[in-house]
Amino acid sequence: MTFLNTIVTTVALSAALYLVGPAVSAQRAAGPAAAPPAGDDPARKPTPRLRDGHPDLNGFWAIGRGPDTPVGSSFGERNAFIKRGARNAAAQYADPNQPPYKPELMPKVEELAKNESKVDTAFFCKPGGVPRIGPPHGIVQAPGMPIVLLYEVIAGNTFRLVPTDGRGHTANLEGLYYGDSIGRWEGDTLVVETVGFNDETWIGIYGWLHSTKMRVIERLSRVGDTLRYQATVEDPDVFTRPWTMNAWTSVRTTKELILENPPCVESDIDHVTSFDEKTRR
Amino acid sequence: MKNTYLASVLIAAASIAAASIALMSGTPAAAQSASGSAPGTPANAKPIPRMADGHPDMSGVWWPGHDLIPAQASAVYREGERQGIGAQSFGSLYKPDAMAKAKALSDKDDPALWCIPSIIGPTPLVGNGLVGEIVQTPKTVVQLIETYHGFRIIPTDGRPHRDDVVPSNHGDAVGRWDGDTLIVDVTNFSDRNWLHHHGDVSFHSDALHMVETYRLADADTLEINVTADDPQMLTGTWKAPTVKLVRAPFEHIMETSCENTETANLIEAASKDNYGRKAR
Repeated sequence: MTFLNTIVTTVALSAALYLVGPAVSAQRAAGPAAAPPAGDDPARKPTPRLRDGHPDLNGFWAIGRGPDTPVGSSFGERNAFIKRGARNAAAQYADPNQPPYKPELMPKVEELAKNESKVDTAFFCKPGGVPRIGPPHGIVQAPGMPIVLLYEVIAGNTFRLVPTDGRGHTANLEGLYYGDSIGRWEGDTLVVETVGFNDETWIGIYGWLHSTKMRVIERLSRVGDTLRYQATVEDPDVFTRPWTMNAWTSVRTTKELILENPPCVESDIDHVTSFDEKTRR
Repeated sequence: MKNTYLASVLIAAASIAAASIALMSGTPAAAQSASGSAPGTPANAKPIPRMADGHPDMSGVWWPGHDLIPAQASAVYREGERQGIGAQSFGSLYKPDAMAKAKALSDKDDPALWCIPSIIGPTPLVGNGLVGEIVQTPKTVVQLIETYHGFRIIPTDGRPHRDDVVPSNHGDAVGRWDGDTLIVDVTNFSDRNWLHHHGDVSFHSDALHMVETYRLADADTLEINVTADDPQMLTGTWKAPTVKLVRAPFEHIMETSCENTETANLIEAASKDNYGRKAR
């Protein structure tokens, strides 16, 4: 059992760290390393459609050209540490696309960031929430059913349901990690609108808090064998304006399916001392 | 719309929600809905929904036909320990060594208290809870399990089991159609979880092999059978009681999560109260 506990502990930490914020610099995505060889560009492949005419989003999507991982990495391997430490923190804060917090909240955001390992619920095996969980790793799209977004998460795989039949939000739903989602098609883009959140989760590491009034708009569009994902966060309690986060691009994969991870157990959290974002300047 | 009370109960209880045992006991609601099926179906009966490829379409939200009623649930549990499983339980087939181990375990040892999902609960589609949803495409059947908010991906495109993945709580499932019956073959389980929850001692080895069958008895009734072999633990093949689920009167399953924040308290409570059962 000791061995198992060790694994579980390690997993707990990984799980906590896994949920890095997607809203980090898009510079990597735009860099030359992200460009696949000409002629092999998955974005140039045809975009299949379902019988209803909408793009077919079915399949598994590896986060291959997002901010956090290089081309070819699996969707299970977003490096939890890549945006931590002095260098990455500096890069993050140098990104011009910063969350537009109200000035009076900035001290609180900074305080949270400096105490991340003590106050970020992602360190305690809690669900990452939307939009922190990032783009889906799998999508199931069946006629007459809500679109299902699947996520491989070390803290526990999860799913979201997105009805696209024109209904409104379910009344009286509140306090949710992943919110209440409804979807609609704008041309070939699936637009997912989500409300009903709790205020436990963050939008990303660095203390990015939000209120229960948060409304998240996610846009998913398939281009060939790639999936573009971008989230916009509206929260009049904490932001001065809606904030559109940097986009991710995922690549369709037939090799990978979603794996199940061992359970997240927060048995070692008291010993975490070194992961706080305290090297900002 | 299912009330949020159910969700909160399930969250608070971290899935020791006792009512799912009622699934096993042939409740009136489930039995009513299950009637009027099969041969002699009235001419006005709804046809079984089908996919474009002709296979039955099991998409939808399924439950036993009744909501969780905590007071009754505990009463049911007290009266019918391992009701519906009884002498036919998975554990009744344990080999001597496993039987000896089982006698040393009790409610407080239930891995579900650590947010580790049971394999079957009352039946695989609902897991540790009461409600499950199926979304079916021509190549895949996806099962969404409300409690613990988990999912299973069951490919039905003829691919074999994967040989490149580590063992997991839900195992590796592949499906195929035999007429109108979906047959799901599951291997590669971890030995971490139990088949059932509620402290029903039902550990297994990583040699566990399960076969699940899903059949629409009528348009609104899903019949599920499960058999399990575990040559390391069992003296023979275990057959789970047949479970019939009906279409739920709400559109989607809800968000419930298990976060290990109550584990210590739950284990303490389980130790003290033994879920209302007499100590064995």
